[in-house]
Amino acid sequence: MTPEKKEKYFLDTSIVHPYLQSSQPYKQYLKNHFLDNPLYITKYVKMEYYRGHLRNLLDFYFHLSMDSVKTLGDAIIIWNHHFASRKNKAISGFVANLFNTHNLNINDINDKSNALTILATYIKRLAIKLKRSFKDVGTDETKCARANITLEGIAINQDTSEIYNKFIKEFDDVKKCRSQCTIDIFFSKKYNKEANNYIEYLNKLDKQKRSENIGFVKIISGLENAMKNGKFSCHLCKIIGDAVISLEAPICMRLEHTDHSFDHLCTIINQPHFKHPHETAVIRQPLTSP
Amino acid sequence: MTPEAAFKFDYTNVGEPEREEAYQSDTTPEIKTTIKGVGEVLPFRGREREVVEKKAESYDAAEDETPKLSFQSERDYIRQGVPQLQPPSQEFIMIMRSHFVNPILKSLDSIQPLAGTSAGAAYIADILNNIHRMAQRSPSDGFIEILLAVYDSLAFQGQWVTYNPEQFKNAYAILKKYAERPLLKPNDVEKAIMEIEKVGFDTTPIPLVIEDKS
Repeated sequence: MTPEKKEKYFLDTSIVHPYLQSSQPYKQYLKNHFLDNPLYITKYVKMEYYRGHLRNLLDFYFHLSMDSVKTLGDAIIIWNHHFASRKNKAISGFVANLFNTHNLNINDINDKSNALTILATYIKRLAIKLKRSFKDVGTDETKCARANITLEGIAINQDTSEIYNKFIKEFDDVKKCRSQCTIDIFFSKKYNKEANNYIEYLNKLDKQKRSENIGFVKIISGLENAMKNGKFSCHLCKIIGDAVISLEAPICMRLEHTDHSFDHLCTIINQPHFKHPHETAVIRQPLTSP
Repeated sequence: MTPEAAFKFDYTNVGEPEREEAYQSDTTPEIKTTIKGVGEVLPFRGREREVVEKKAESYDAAEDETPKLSFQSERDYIRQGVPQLQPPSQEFIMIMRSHFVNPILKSLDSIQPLAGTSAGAAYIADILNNIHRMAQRSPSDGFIEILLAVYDSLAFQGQWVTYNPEQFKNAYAILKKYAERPLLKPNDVEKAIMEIEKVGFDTTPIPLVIEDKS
């Protein structure tokens, strides 16, 4: 289990997220696993973290900033009432924890501006840690334009709200971003052979509805359709992201992840990989052990 | 100090001993009054300039009765009447830092032999209080972002108990190093936060756990 020294690890977003934002037991688990070895990511992984996590936190930030939302309590209640997805509930739990740590009164109208500042600072700190905790492999094969839109280098006296707003507008301009990236060339030319191997493997795969195969089936079905009709989009990248990451991973590094899909994706292209247990499994482990 | 010297006084040296001398001078009553007025809002150097400029404007207006707006840029004209927040002066930032950071450093020093014990609680409470108070009073100082990172790493679920004397010692050294730098650029703040992380303080301790779908 303990890795050899100086081994290089390439992290999928499913590891980058808990590395930055998981519970202490899971952070400790990852720390024990990676020790002081260098951790690598690509711009694309960075973009996935922004898209899947920081973007959602910014949603709550702007929800809270609305004049119609008077207190933190209102913000959380309205958020939970209207946005019932698992992720959104996790976000409201996160902000409740954050505000509690700062001893903010969720019913006090005066604490709203403090809460906005604290949340903004925390989001900024996550962006800083994302930027500085990992090394870049140095290749940018998809030339993802969204990956260049970041929350880095914000000075304290700048208008954070304005900067976040600008970030969201640029990040959400998928038409413009797509016009600048080369995801189509990535699959149709550069990694055409590997993409076809994925499709071929899918067609031969038994028990496609099994939980460990569902992710892979969804990814490669999406990729197959896109390759047939030539329609790649930022929305599609939400589905086929794991395929991009598996192909971008340097062969000299081990791809670290928690997703079942990589078991297939990495095996097909002979990419070294390691699947970690999910955070909930690590947290539950001490309780189930004798 | 001669009147000429007082006029040539460099206002950027606010808070320097010579400035005090200029206050005392009674040879330039008008300037003295102006500076005295500004002296009450010493932290905001921008206001000082504003007052001096306004005096110059009113003098111009007295010379020529035609209202002069040419000195204003279009942007300033549009923004007339909108209260503008002036960035705090360097002196204000350093005064606030010395007021709040010194007690924080002292507590970080005192807690080292008490790390991991309940006896450290009073020092941690003191650190957390001072960080919040400084965040209220000096929100434009980049150093507060470093302190808020320390706050989260200590306060969340009583994490401070898990840190050892060496970690507190290192955190002390990092805070002291950056507190002495008057102008902190975003890059400095980023470096400081990562240095604190390297010590073993988790500056983003609050989990955002999204259940596994499978």
